[in-house]
Amino acid sequence: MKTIKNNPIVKKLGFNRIILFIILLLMYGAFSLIIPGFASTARIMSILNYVYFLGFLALGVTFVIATGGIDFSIGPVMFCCALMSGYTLNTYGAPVIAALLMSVVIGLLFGCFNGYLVAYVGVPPFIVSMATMNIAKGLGSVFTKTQSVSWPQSNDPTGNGWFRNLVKVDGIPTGLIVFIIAIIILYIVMNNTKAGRYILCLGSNKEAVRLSGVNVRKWQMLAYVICGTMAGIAAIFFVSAYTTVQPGLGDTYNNEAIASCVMGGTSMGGGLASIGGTVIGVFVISLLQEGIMAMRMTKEVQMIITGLIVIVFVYADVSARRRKN
Amino acid sequence: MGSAPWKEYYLELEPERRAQILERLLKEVPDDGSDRFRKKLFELRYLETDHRSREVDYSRPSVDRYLWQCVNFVQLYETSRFFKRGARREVTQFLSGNGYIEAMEAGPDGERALYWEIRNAARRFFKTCSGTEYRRALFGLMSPGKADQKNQMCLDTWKMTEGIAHRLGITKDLSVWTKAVMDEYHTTDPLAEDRMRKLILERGPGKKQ
Repeated sequence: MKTIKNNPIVKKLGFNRIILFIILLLMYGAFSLIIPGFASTARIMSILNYVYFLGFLALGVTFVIATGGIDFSIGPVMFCCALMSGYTLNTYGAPVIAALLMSVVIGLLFGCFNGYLVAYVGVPPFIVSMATMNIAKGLGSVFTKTQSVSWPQSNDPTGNGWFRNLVKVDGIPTGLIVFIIAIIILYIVMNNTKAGRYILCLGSNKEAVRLSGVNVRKWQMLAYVICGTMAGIAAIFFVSAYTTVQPGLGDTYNNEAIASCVMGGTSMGGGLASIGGTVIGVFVISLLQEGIMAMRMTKEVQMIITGLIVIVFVYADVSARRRKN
Repeated sequence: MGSAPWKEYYLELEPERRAQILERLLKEVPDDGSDRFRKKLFELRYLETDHRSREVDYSRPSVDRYLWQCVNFVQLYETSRFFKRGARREVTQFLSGNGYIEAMEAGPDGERALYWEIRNAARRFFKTCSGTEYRRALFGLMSPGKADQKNQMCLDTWKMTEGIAHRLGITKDLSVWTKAVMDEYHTTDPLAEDRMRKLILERGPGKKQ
């Protein structure tokens, strides 16, 4: 094992990420063997639909975790964005493009709200995001008068269903292309820009960054703004893949997004983030969700399994740190 | 520290106080050959770019470029696994733009001033490592224990010196930096030697370096 770990290629790619990728392949192999028809195109498309919105959520929260913070509001914020923009589209006859933009703007505003409270007011991120989670749930319910919102289908006679081409056009997973572009952009932002460097440095030694003359509040807030915006974009992909959005939901996706980050190698203490690792983590969680669903287990069982996964990976991260030290 | 009077200057961590001490010592103490480098390094380390072209205002040091590199090099080590060229360019730009190369090439006088300036920056960095904000665990909810902090400090020290130098193939360029930071690190922790051996060289990232 030590020889493998010290291999230069393994060192470059990251041992944990390679293991996670192998787990992903093994899981896919196991589900394909156990469940008839699991390797079908329809099933892969269904997994990808889950990957898109969960991916955007997880990529966004990676930035916040990199600063040493946390955002437990991403799932409800995504639902709030989808509900409010969908309601505006259906009730007030707003153009689809305006509704989609509105979704991103709402996400951005939630990000600004969280970021301002954490960076400028000094409220702990845990408290802020828990509060925002409830605000987002409540706001979505109040705005829609506690009614579920349906987005137009692709064959909608008004032609309003064009936005579904974002995830699939004639069987081609266009969403995957958009998602890959987003991964590349966020990878560059995280690893090759001043903003990304400041965000990572904040997670490793905030006081030293402050004494260096860096405006730590600004960059800390930016991480939350990116996270909120990603939740808004995730909402677009959610409504492009699924039809109905119900108020008061979304918090289960927090766990899944955070679990994807942590299992992908993003440190819970901040200062260390892996966009590539997060993406593999997203695929693992999405595959697991699809597998559990294909085995006809209930949503409650899915929640138990996801919760257990979060505990296992958080424990693994904590114990790995202890071992290292 | 060159000569005894300069001890005060190199032990002081607050830029404003250092500016006052520097000004005083430059007048009071006879030049040992390093004075122009001390002055230059101070300006390049603390003062805003705009000030360089105009008359330098020592009363308003607003940044700390050497301290920033202590944090930055740790991250650069982490993020330069694949794209080394950009990281190397970034380090080289810092070295050439902040008086490092100039002082190193000027001989013992310049090197001495540079060495102590870096030690001062490292000292300031290590002071921040004993604070509660350093490497908080579990999404910022938990403060790390003292032992964890010391171990993390050891890892960071290695990454910002030998780690980055080996990874980017610039050990010669960073020799003064590495020596100064390592020397300062050894003064902060009585178990530094042992910790460095156990965490880095025996089972850590430095094993195969």
